[in-house]
Amino acid sequence: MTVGAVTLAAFVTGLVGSVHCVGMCGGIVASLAWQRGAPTPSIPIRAITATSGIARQMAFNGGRIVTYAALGALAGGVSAAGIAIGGGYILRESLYLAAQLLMILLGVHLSGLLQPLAALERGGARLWKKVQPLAAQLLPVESPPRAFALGTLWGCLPCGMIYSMLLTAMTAGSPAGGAAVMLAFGLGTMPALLLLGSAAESGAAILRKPAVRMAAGALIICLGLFGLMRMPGHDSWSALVSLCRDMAVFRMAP
Amino acid sequence: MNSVAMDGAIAAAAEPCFHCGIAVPAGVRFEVLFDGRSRHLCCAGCAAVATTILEAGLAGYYRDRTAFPEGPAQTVADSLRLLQRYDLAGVRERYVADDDQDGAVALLSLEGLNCAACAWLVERRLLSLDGMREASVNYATHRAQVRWQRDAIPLSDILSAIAQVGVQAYPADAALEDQYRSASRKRALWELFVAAFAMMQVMMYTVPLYLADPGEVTPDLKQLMQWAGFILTLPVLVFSARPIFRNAWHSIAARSFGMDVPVSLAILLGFGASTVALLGGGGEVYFDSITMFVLLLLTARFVDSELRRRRQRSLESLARSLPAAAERLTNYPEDTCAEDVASAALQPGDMVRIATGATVPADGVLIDGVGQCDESLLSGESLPVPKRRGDGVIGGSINLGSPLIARVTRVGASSVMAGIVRASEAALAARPKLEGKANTFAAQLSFATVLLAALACGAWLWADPSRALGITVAILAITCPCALALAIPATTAAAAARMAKAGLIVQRGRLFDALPQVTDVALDKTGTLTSGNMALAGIEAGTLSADQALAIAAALEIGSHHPIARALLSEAERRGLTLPKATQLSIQPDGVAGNIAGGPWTLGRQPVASTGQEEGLPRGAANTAVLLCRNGAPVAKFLLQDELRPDAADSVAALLRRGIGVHLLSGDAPAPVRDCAGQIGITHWQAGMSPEDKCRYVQALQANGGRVLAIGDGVNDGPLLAQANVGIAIHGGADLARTRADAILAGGRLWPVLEAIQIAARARRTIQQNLAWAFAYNLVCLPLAAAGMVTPQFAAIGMSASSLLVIANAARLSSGPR
Repeated sequence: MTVGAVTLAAFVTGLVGSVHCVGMCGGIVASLAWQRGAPTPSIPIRAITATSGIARQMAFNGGRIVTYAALGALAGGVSAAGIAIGGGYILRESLYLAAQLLMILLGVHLSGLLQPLAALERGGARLWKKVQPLAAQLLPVESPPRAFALGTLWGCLPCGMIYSMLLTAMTAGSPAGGAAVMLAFGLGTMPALLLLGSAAESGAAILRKPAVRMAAGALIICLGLFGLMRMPGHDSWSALVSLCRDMAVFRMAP
Repeated sequence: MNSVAMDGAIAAAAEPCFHCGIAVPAGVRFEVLFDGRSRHLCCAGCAAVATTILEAGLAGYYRDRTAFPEGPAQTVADSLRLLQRYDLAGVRERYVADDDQDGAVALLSLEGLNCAACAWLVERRLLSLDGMREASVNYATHRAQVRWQRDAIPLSDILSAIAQVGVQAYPADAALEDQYRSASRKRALWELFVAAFAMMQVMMYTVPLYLADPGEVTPDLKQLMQWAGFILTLPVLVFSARPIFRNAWHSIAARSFGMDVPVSLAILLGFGASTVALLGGGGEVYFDSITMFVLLLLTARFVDSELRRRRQRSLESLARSLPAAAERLTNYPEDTCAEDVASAALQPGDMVRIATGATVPADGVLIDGVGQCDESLLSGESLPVPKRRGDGVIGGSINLGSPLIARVTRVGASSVMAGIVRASEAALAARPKLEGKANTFAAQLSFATVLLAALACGAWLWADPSRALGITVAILAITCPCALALAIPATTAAAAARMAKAGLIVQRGRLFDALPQVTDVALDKTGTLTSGNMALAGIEAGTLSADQALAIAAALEIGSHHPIARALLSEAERRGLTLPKATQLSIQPDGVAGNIAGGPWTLGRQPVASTGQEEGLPRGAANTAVLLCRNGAPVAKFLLQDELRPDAADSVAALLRRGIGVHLLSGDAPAPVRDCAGQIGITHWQAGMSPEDKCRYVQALQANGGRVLAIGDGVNDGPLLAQANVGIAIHGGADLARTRADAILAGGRLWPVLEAIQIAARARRTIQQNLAWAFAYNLVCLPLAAAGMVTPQFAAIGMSASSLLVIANAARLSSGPR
């Protein structure tokens, strides 16, 4: 499978999977900027308009994506090293298989039926415990650079989606490819987080409906299945096209 | 959120996650402690976030949110509620002063004012409010002065109207503004640094390509260097050039063609085309020109803003002279224990103690103590002003004598200090009419430039496509309307600062237009040519000695604030006389009466006007005689003179030398006026004039083609100052808020008027020079650029050099000989 196709799949995964992320990462920056430990002064000096949070949101998400890309580069580098050492073809194939299986598991996880990735997340939580003091120091977020810094740490949150995407990133086989995959994934999560994160409550509420989450999970499962079907050695699009043609021929055959 | 039923699967399935609200899946166990209870969360991620938030001490996030998370609409509603706190009675007084008509005036700080177009937008928005009378935004200081009909608009409405335009407004606060200004200066320096750094690097990579012989540089090396240029130009575009793009965007949004529009187009076009050439392989790459262009632009603007900042600092030093803390007496007069409070927290009616050498924290009335105050910063009185019980003290003056106790009368926006700050503010904002025209013309020129660039682009695409882009960028870059738009503001600002240094504070822009063309000067007498103080000129005593008579007279006048009383008392003090005790003091129609040592004494003014003749009074500018009588029989006569200002004669002589006619218009009796005119050297004088008479006189002069400068007392001569072409008020202290003059003489001297005329004439010449240069430059360079004889690099240099030249020429005004 070409790197381009994997990237595209990552982007779509981000888009679809971000329904999961909204509540956790969405409006947090704009909201956290408002909160202070001390009581507000009796005479406020400045009035804050609605748009002052946008820069912080953008910076926060930018930081998040930078972390993803860095992790993706790391993953790609690891797999490249592995292949170079002598893993070769077999390593690549099995990585790919594992990535697709994990994608399917992710879809199941997102749909809310089961929590197959919970164990992974708990492992990630141990990593987060180390990151957390740093994050706590950055709160409350008052300026875009601070938001950016917080975003880079936020990218290390224990999140099953990221872990499965990282495995996909490894299949890219090179640090640049890995970074590109995670970058695409991050960009895919952006629209939901920016538009819905700080929007009215009703918008975010839609994403909490079980039906929506089920649909999102199903889509991701399909993506994983697709990936399984397109084993390496075939060009993705042509395989898809020939598959459709075969099905059509099969249908139309008398 | 119930934590009672902890029965695993069933309860947990229905429970929403404490952090993100999604239903917690069955069998999942993530918890966090909040408000003493254990809360459930749906996943490790939410658990991690919630723990982080709570451990950062931001539990308020969970407490205060009503929904998940706030939307923009709610934020705006909150901010409106915050603004409305400014309408509360006690708060409003601090920031809003009432003027002499039924209006209210306030000084606002603006944040987020990115360009002159925004300033214009704010003004327009404010003036569209019902009841708004005046709104002037000073782009240089980021402040707005607003005057509106009292009670017609609450302050919060004004602030939120400005917020609707995208600009933050709050009542002016010097400390906050300092913060904001230093923050924006730091940012500007960073932008400059990034641009400079990038430019040097890009130059380093481009110069070899220029210098190399064709074929000497291999294609991939060339590509590498161009890529380096691209990467180094990116931060310049994204960071340093941001203000330029923002200004252009705002000016387009305000439907006017700002001078940043062609420049932004040049930058974007150049960058875009260079990137395309780089990726597509082939064609000219202009990264060096772009970075240099941005650097030069930013430098010119930085220099301009630095000059403005320095000028503003000198004019603003006044506002910083209020002390931060004051001693408030809590239990006066029972005891004198004092607490330290912030000066800003003082209210009218508070009693404050002012130590020796300390600055008076607020306007007030002296309750106890005798001393002297240095009011030079405020009223221009170079001599310390004696203060007695009942005298007013001005916030910002310095107590030179023994400790004083005063009752606060005015705080906040209605204090004298605030009035002076507003006057200085107006000085900075004063704009001559010509500037409006120049700005319009600059906008038209920007538009024409873009049009011409488009035409030239089309023409060259047809004639020789390879050169089209470079020529278009060159046209957009070289023709800079900024020299045109900068020519006048830079000059008037420098002129205003110079005049302020000389002692004349400009309030309105029409001063710059009218002052150089003045043909006649109309002066008032009392308070203008004379300083308003009386001095003892002579004592004629019979049976008593002069000192004895003076002591008795002073004893009768104790506690009075009348100018005659002051003159007698200060002379008695000067002579070191001990005053006898006077009892049963009473005020008479023409003076005072009292009992001293058992005998009734009166001290009365001998009315000069009724007799119409001077009885043995020496010739002098303004003469009053006061008779001291015992039991009705005159015992001594005191002769008092109104003192002339020390530089009055010289100033008038200098005016006459310039060929300006000088007229003395006074409401006093003929004799003093004649004497005054004689002493000073004025041939045209009129006595016994009412304010209407004075206006008619000035109108007559104007009808004959004259341009009149009127100098008078800002309050009583209001109509006269308004009628004249230029009206200058002599600053008398507490009445600054009511002055509507075009300028204020701050030092109690007349000489600054002369200087101001010379400065205004110089400024006019400078404006003409700058405009001429800007015109000529644009006129010559446009055709050259269109013809393709200008490279983008030279365009950048030429444009910036032109702006810098204009600014430097204007800066010459700030110093140098007249």
